[in-house]
Amino acid sequence: MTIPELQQLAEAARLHIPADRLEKLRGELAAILQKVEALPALDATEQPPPARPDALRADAQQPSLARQALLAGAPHTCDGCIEVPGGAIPNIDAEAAPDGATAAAPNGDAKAMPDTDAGAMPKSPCKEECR
Amino acid sequence: MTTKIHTLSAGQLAQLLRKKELSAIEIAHATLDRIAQTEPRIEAFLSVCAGQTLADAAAVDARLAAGEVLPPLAGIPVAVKDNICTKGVRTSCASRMLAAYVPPYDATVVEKLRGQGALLVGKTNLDEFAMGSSCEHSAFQKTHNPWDTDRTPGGSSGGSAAAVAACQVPLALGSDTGGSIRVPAGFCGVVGLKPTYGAVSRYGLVAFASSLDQIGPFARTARDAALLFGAIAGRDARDATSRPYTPAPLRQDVRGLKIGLPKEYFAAGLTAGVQRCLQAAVETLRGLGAEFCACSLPSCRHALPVYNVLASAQAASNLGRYDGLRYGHSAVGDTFAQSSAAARGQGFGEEVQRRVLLGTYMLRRDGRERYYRRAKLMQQQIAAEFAAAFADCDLLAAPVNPAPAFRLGENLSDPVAMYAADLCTVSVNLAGLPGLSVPCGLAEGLPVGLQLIGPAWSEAALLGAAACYEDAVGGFAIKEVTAP
Repeated sequence: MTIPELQQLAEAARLHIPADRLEKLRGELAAILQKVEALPALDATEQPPPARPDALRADAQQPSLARQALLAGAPHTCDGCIEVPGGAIPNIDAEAAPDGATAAAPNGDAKAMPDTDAGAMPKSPCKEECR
Repeated sequence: MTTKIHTLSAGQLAQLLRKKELSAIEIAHATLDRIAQTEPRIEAFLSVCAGQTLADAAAVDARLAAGEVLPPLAGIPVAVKDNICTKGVRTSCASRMLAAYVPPYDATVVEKLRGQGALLVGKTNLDEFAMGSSCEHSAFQKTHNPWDTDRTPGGSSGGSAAAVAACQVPLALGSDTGGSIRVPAGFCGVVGLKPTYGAVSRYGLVAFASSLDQIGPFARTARDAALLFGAIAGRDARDATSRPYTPAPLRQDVRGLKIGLPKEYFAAGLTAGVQRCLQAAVETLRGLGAEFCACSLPSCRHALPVYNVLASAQAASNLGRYDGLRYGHSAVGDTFAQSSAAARGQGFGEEVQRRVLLGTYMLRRDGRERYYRRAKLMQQQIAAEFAAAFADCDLLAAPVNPAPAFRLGENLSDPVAMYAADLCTVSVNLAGLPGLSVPCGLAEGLPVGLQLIGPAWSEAALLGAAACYEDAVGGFAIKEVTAP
């Protein structure tokens, strides 16, 4: 490892290393890398399956929540579906937020919403009825 | 009471509390007095929470007076390594980077101990961000080995090991990424357990190398270590790598237990004194009915470089969050990149910087194939060799350290020599297995540790075998620390 390589590495690691430490550090890293270089290369195809206790668990399918249980936790439902706000957003000044262009952020501040094509986002068909 | 309170084990203290022969407030005062008396020589603690300890002790006494049946650790003093988050108590990781960090939450292990009514006495010193083997890489102080204060207590959990060895506390928590519990336990003559990866929640443990880090107990007896381990083990929804786990009762004898002696661990490099102590320990266990056989773990000779690659790469990634902006030490620069580099350059010590640079090197495009992938394959090979050994043996016995504690400053200027302190311990982390250090005698007047290694989830067998061994040889030897 050269000093310019080390400086490049320090930049990648976002570390300011004073110039008077570079040579010592270069020597230390070179000594560690020399040990690492001695690692033999193993053939991945000959490797046994992982034996660590944290090896990934089987990807088994679990039963999901029943529809009624899920709906019971929703603030508004409609025809067996969860209803989400479609047009006017609560706590937003309608004058300041035409067409629902702003929304309340988690901290209560209004923030800009990404541009969306209103025509591509159908409103809940029974919004009026359920309210 | 004629016996000095600070010399009693956690089990003995709990018994006396329940019999009302001792109060929690007496225990708390004895502990704080002992710390005040010995701390100038040992320097194990970064913070001592005297007021909170006394308040918590009074609460335990009130519950006892009300006739409440208390959990096993109620009223028992415990020290916590300073890389484990404690709500309202500074958690510095012995780093200038986090010198002023006060977590707004408790780590799961701390929450569990508080839930039991344990007295969280203070936070112990460590090598910065748990990177080191001597406790000399702390930004704030050097901890001294109670057996010889010119020597290192080992690291990185040196403060916890020294606090238990100096009878400042009966129990302490540490963390072990490559030997950081077992190495200091061996150097200080106490019991230290590195649990199976996933046995204890890592939520609230400041991450070093997430696939290797594990929290575990220090104690002066194996039974005390089992008591603390039982209190912290188990599944935590906030750590996806933790598993449901209720440790089994300790094994009561070692009769018929087949213990393997991996020949690579007993090769050249062990001092004569360490060899003598290990041989005596093997004979003691054989006398108790254990059977010994030779075995081989050939790839373990590559464990240190594998560890250097994997741990450094994960450290570089984990420590990326300290950018001097969100929290931690900050510095001024013309651009974000400049201020971040300055903050990290000032906030991190030399060893941490070395590992961050090394890890960044490993994670570069060419480094991934040349080093990281090669190291991962070798890690798999090491784990497979352990699995093969456990097909024939119940446990393995090995040294913890090739030599007793070295002098402070001896290896400080040579990182490769310092890393070699973990020579006998890193393989266990790479394979995700439990390993325990139990004192097995003195060499050159300094403690020597016997390492017992088991298959995953075999903590009860390890702790049980260590308890049987302690019963046979007389257990922990107290080295009285004199005031300066």
